[in-house]
Amino acid sequence: MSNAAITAAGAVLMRDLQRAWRRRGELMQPLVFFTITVYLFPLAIGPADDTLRILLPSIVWVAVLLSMTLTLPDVFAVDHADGSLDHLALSPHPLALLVLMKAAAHWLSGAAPLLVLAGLLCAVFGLETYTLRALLLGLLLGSPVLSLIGTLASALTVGLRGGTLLLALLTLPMYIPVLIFGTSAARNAALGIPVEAEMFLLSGLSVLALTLTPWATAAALRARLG
Amino acid sequence: MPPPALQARELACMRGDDLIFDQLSLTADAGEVWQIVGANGAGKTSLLKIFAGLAPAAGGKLQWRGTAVQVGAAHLRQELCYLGHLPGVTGYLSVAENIDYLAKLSGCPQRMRPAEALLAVGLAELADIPVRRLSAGQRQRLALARFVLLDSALWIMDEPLTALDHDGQRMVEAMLADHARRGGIAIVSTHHALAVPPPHFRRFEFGARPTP
Repeated sequence: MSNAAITAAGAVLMRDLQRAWRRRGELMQPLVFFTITVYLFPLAIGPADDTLRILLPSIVWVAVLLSMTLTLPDVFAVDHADGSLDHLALSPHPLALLVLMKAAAHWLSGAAPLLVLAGLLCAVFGLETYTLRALLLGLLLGSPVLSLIGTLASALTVGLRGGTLLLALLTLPMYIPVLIFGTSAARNAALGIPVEAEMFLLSGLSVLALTLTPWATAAALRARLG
Repeated sequence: MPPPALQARELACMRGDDLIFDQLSLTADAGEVWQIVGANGAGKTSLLKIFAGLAPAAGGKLQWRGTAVQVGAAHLRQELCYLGHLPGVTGYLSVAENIDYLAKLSGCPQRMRPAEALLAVGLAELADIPVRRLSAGQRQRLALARFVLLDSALWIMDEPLTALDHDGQRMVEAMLADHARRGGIAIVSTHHALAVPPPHFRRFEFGARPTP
């Protein structure tokens, strides 16, 4: 790969991160949404009940899934609205590499803060250390898949009306495998069962998404812009 | 003899089930500025997107330096500078950050430093201002700064005079004349009269559609 392609990829990543930082006020909204969603459950279930502690990892996983779909319009929809998406598609550098950087920026600005917040919330609710570690490791290994699939879905819906809801409807079913393995790891950890198998499966899903979705995203983007 | 730089033969364009145009042929060679003129809805923007390799043609042949242009092919994009009907600049970044990002994204070599390009389009004073605080005309000037900055053979501009003041329009004409003198090709769609000196200037009008 040429130096110019690497410079261009770095520029795409930096530009998206810079933009995210400049509008960090708006990026707080999914974090607040996540916190409120998680806090609704103790209110609905009743805080004294042990049910909450058993359900908490699953609640956190679902809340992460929902919150991550909220930031997906930032990946391509905003760029399409101001015309800068054309410049991305017209760059002579490999588009798959450039969209991979968009997904990386989405993970860094949209998922990483959620993971930190999830850890803090679970500590507040008194989740055992072993379960907490399994939950966070699962989120760390699984969330790149969510960003990559979300980026693909964003490319498929570029320029369509009703984008945000459509994006959620398109992405959430594709998030199911990650959800199953992630919550299964946390449940097994709570019972003291080893969780390596789930972690390997989540890592495998991550590698699979990392190698396949950038090409699909690039092709989808070209088709939508044409 | 080398093949003409940009050659379109009998291009057709469909939007949904509607035929926008067909049998469109145009040959643009080094040092030519082509103004594309046509009624609203004649398909000027669609034509420019096909030329830029953003959209596929429904029929016909398009070649750049003798090689067919397809959506996603890189050989044209290495020499292309494109301006769509939106300026394509990011509101949350400063003027200088925008031009820097767009220059790195493009594969074209730079003819000068980004700061000099901003000076040439009259934005030097605003380099550190976030683009969302600029007027529409200033954003258009920023979009045009890429054309000054980058050394690209083919310019494709969709309504470049939009929102520009009188000075800005003269600036675009001077840029086009200079580009043609250096042997570049420009394809420009605009309803305004373009004052580009005659040896370089060509005009393409969308003909009335043949009635069956």
